[in-house]
Amino acid sequence: MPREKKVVDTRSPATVLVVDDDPSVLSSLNRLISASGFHVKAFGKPSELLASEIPKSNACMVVDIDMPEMTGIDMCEVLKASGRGLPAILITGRTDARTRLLAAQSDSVAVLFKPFNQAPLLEAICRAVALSIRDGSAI
Amino acid sequence: MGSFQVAASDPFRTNMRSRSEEYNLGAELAAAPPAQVTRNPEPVDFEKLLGDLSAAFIRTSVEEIDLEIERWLERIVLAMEVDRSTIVQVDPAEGFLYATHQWARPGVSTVDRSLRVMDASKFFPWLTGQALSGELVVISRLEDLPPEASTDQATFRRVGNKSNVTVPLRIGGVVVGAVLFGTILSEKAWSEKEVQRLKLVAEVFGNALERKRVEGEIRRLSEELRQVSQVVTMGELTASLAHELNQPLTAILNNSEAALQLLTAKSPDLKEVAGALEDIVRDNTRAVEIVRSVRALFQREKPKTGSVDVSELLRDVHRIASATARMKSISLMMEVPESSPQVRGNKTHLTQAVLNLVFNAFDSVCESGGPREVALRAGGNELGYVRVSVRDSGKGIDPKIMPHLFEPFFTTKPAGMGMGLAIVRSIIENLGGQIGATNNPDRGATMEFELPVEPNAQHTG
Repeated sequence: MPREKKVVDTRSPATVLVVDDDPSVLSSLNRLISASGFHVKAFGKPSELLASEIPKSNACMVVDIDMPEMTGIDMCEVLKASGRGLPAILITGRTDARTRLLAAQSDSVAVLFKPFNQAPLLEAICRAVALSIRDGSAI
Repeated sequence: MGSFQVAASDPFRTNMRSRSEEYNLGAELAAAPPAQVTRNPEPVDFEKLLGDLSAAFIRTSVEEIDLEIERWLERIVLAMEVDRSTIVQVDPAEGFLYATHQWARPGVSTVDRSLRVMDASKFFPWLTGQALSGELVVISRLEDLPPEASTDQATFRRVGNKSNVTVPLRIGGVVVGAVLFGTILSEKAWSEKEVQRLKLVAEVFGNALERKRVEGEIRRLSEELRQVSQVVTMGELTASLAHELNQPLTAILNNSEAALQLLTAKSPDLKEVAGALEDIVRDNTRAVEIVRSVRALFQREKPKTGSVDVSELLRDVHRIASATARMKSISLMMEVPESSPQVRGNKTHLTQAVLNLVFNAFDSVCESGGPREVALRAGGNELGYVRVSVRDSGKGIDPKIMPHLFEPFFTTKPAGMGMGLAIVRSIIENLGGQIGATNNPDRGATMEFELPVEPNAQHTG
């Protein structure tokens, strides 16, 4: 594929921002996504992610829905409202109707119900990163 | 109450059915009694006896009512100079009329206890009809019975009756049976005064049996509700426990796949692989702990009592409730000594009791709209008690309802059954403890209970 078509240099690894209030889940996601070749930034709270520098392109988020501070869905809305939105993959340990509905109504790239395998996670991350490159290049 | 007085003359006597037919009926009933029956000739102050009778049933506990009725049947039979008295009641399930209580003078036949379950209306069809429609029937001589009562008359002959008064038995205003008073030795011309006394006796018995029925119903209902409320708590917990279990399972799966991924590299980062494996072991332990706490909570076993470490108990409660607390944005604090004195009790029951208090506190802080803080504390006191408290920052307890807080069926929640705190109280009091509630000086309320320290347990720590 001819390199000059890309605005972003895809040789540098894409960044995945991970937010989960459960330390075990957060560190395991960090390890798994890192092992798959991505650059991972891990956050234990939505407020930490909101206070950090958000990449404009070549990045995506893996966001837990159920967090005490605010839901992952709300956090994505806050980011988008401030013009810093990134494609997101929602993850949740709950399978109740309300959670499913909220997740389906959000504009996330994918919703994964815990526990989930590596393959669907990486597939969703790749799609999300591709979207961010497209959207980022359009800016 | 209407009354049916059969005329002393005997116009119906010739209308009886054949004897063989009658004797087949009531074959289970005992044969006619021997004649050597003696009566107590002493005069009895019947008004005083009636007063004692009423007073006795006010004091009698529900368990003792049946026994007390039979004791009193004896006294009434002796005082009224009759020979046998029987209470029959309709079994609401079977529609049967069966003998529930009986007393007879020595030498007078009685229905064997094992035969009391039989349907008495078969042997006394006419009398049953009269009694259940509220009629009081006085029979001074068997010959006074109307022709349609031939079966009844035959049964009376068979069991040796020479006269009988049947008073309808009312429970809660509804006729549910009858009290029968009979003479065996001789016919008896029942006076209006005597019949009136028997009506009063039947009324006292009816009231006592009503109390027994109502309390039995409440007991059955409470037991049902206790089970229902446990199921509801379980339902509430299941969602948060599933969530709680999912976390370690997710981490385990992620770390396993990360380890596999790492090992495919040309020069695998073995330190990172080791890190993944260590985390797998840690999260597996966490999942096992959660499963264990659920199992301990819901195992349906006979309550075994043993030594319970109160600090450990509260740590379990904290672990179970923390998922719900997180979901509801409640800060759940815990202050327990490293090791507290042991108390004697059933750990499952105590866990349910404390959980119940914690979930009540959760509801209170969520409704109040203020800060959402719940604190779980344990500590000993110098009087040989362990004290456990659940303090919340909720809306507090209305002083008006405070005295009713621990009563069964008392609730302020629209969907509540009002059994939670009553069950908690029964668990604590069964272990020799006490429970109480107070409003905090600043905001919210504190539920607190004390349990006696187990005398011989070692106190480590």
